[in-house]
Amino acid sequence: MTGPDPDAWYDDDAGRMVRSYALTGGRTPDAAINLDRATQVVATLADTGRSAAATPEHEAILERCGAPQSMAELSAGLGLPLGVIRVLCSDLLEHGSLARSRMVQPRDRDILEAVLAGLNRL
Amino acid sequence: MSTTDPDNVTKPPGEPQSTSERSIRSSLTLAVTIPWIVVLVLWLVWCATFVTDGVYTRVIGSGVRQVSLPAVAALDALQSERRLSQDLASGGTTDQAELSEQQARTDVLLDRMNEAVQAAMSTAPAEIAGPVDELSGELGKLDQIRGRLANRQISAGEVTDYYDNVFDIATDLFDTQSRLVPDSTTAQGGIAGTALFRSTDLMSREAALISSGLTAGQLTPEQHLQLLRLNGSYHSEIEKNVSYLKPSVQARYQKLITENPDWARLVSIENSLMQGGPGADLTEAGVSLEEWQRLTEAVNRELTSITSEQVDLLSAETVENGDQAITIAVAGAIAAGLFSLGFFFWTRRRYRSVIDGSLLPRLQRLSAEARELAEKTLPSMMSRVRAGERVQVESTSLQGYGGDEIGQVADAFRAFQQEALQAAVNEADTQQGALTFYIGQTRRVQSALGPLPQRLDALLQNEEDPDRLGALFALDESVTQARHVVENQLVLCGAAPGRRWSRPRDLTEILRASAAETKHHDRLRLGHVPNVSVTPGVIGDMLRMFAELFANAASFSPPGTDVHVEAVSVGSGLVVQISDRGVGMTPEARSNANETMKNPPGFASLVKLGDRGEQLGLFTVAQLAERNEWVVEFGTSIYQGVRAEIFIPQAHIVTDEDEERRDSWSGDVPVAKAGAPAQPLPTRVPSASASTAVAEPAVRQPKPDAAPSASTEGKDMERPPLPQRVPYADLPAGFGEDEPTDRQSAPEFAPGLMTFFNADRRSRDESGNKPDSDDDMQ
Repeated sequence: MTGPDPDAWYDDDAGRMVRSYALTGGRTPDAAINLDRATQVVATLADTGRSAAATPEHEAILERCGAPQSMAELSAGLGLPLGVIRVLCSDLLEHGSLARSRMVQPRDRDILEAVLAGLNRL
Repeated sequence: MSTTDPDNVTKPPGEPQSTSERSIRSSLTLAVTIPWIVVLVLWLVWCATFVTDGVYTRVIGSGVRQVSLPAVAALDALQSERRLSQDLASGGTTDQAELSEQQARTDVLLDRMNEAVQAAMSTAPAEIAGPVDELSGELGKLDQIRGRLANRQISAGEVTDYYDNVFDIATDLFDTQSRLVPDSTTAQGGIAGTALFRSTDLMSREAALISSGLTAGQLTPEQHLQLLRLNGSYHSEIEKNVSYLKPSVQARYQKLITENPDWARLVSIENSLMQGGPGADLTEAGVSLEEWQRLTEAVNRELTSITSEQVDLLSAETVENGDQAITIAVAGAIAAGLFSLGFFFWTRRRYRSVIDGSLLPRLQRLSAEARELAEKTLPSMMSRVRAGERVQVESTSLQGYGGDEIGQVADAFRAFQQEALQAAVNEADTQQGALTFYIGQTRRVQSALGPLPQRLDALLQNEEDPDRLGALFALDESVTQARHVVENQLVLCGAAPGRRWSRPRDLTEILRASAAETKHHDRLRLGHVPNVSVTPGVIGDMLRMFAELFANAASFSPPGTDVHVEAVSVGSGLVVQISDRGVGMTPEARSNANETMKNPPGFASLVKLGDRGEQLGLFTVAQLAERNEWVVEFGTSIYQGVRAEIFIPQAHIVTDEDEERRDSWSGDVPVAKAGAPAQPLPTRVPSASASTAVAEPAVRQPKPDAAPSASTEGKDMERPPLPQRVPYADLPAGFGEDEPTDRQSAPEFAPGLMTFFNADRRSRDESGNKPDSDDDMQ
């Protein structure tokens, strides 16, 4: 090992070490639990904590969800695939240590159009 | 044969060898010694023969001198006594007194003779001892005869017979004695002497016969016939042997028959008596009894004297001959002995110079060198060949033995060594070729597989459709397991595996990743695992080993049951326990497995083990554990299955205290490279509030995404952040491993973005650039 091997993959060049399917145990998101990209979740106050956290990733989600977080934010923040986040959040929602947040629901078309118009002006 | 055997070196040739296993030296020594023993024996026999001959001759000669001269004198006296006795018995003029005188003289001489005989008998040969005994016996009867004669109780015939018998025995004795002498000339002389004695005896008998005739006045026809026989016998006896007498004796005899008047008178009387025929009146013969007696006595004495002289001269000569023979024999023996001795020493010196000087040392050197070759040189060269080293097949050993037989043996050894080495080199080349081919093929598979996980990660990242996500998961699982197999192959073939690490990683992460490399990953149950990291150099091997052990545990337990993994810190390292709930291993299988772990078998043993999955798995585990000095042992688990315990030494463990050493990791990547972009060791700082800071400069703000696990966090809560580091919690698997490390200078990237960044960088790598870590180094 006297020099870098051009054929080698260093650290996570070869993908993340713990594969995504292992994070969820191979499970995929349940369509019945509707968690889309923008769905926000927040840790419930009743979070007794750790017992729900079966894996470090569950733990990490709970840590981040002190304030409401969307699936996309969690995915980007934890560096985990959206699908994995959705499965893990489903687990936590089921357990009750996480709840859907209703605080931010930017569905108002007027506001969105105003934003679009403002952007266009730029 | 050892060169240090002092016996063999110092032992002179000819000394008997006591070793049971004969060396060349002793065999040759024996072969050389035997002829010399033969020479010695022949020499001794030769000496004995000649000296014995001489001694024998001398003994006979001195015997003759000692015995024969007194015997001749005694017998001469006995002759006189006989004449008187016969005369007395036949009524002659002799009176008893005259006879008694003669008897006394005879006894003196007989005693003297007996003394000499007794003295000589000790050395006398058997041929002489017999007749001597006979003679003594006959002489023993003398007293009886004399007594009967004194009493007139014996006839003249009996007296004559007795004395004739005595003289016959004596004559035979002399005859035998003469013939015993080895020297023929001496023997002839002796025989001639005996003939003289016999003639003297015969003449005495004739004289007695004539005396009795003169007394009676005539000769009876028998007596006349007797006279003719005796007269003819003693004359011819002398004349036959006169030429064999000693010259002086011969001259004396010639003088007797030519010049002595008594002899002439005697012969004329004999002749006239014989011419007279039987029954003639002897008184007319003109010879008186007295005259006859005087004549015969004189002639008889002269003949006896001549006989004595002959015997004397002859015996003296015999003794001299014997002495001479002894002298010659001794001198010859000494000369031959000296010559042999000289030749012996010359041979010995030559033998030593050949055997000790050139032959044996060379053989010993050859033996030592051949042994060295067989026991050290060849095995070490063989192992070097097997290790893939190039060795010089042409050998320089066993040189300089010349062209003789020893040199040929050395050549044969050398040729053998070269052949053996060449065969080993060929075999190693074949193996190496096969291995090279195998590694090359495996690398091709690996090259094809290598980029797939990262691409799958990219595809997975934003996939929302559950079905496609499931398909990607399945694909990823297959690819990951295939990669595991390929990496195992490369590692066991001695080639570098594809994946490497430049920074320590959490043990938990490694355990989960290893489970993910098997198809039973969903059965992993992690128990308590200390919050420690593993040095980068052994991460790959540890991944692969845990994967094998995990697969082993899972395959030995019923589907659906859990495989429990725990780790415990011990003083000198860490013990990882992998327990299953299977049926367990039989004690035999367990001891076999443990034996495999203690003494990892080589590839050759796979032929015996067969290709059963668990055997290959254990084989792999044993190889990986051995090269990293990990200890693996199988026992029974509390879940009634198998519990594998793996000891990892402290040297492979990174703890908080080791963080200071983070720049000196020498793992799978060069130190220089590891130093620059190395990710800092995760520090166990609790992340309190959420933060979405992306691409922000380093801030002293706890990162919310850095919450590794409940167990570790609990512990870390009590610990303040290390001074110069950005608080950065343990990163769970897949969390931004490739972030820049220097927090002071580099912006802090969110792990998620880093994934994309990496994907981008990978695409650059694929277009010809080196991997990112190389970039970082530059």
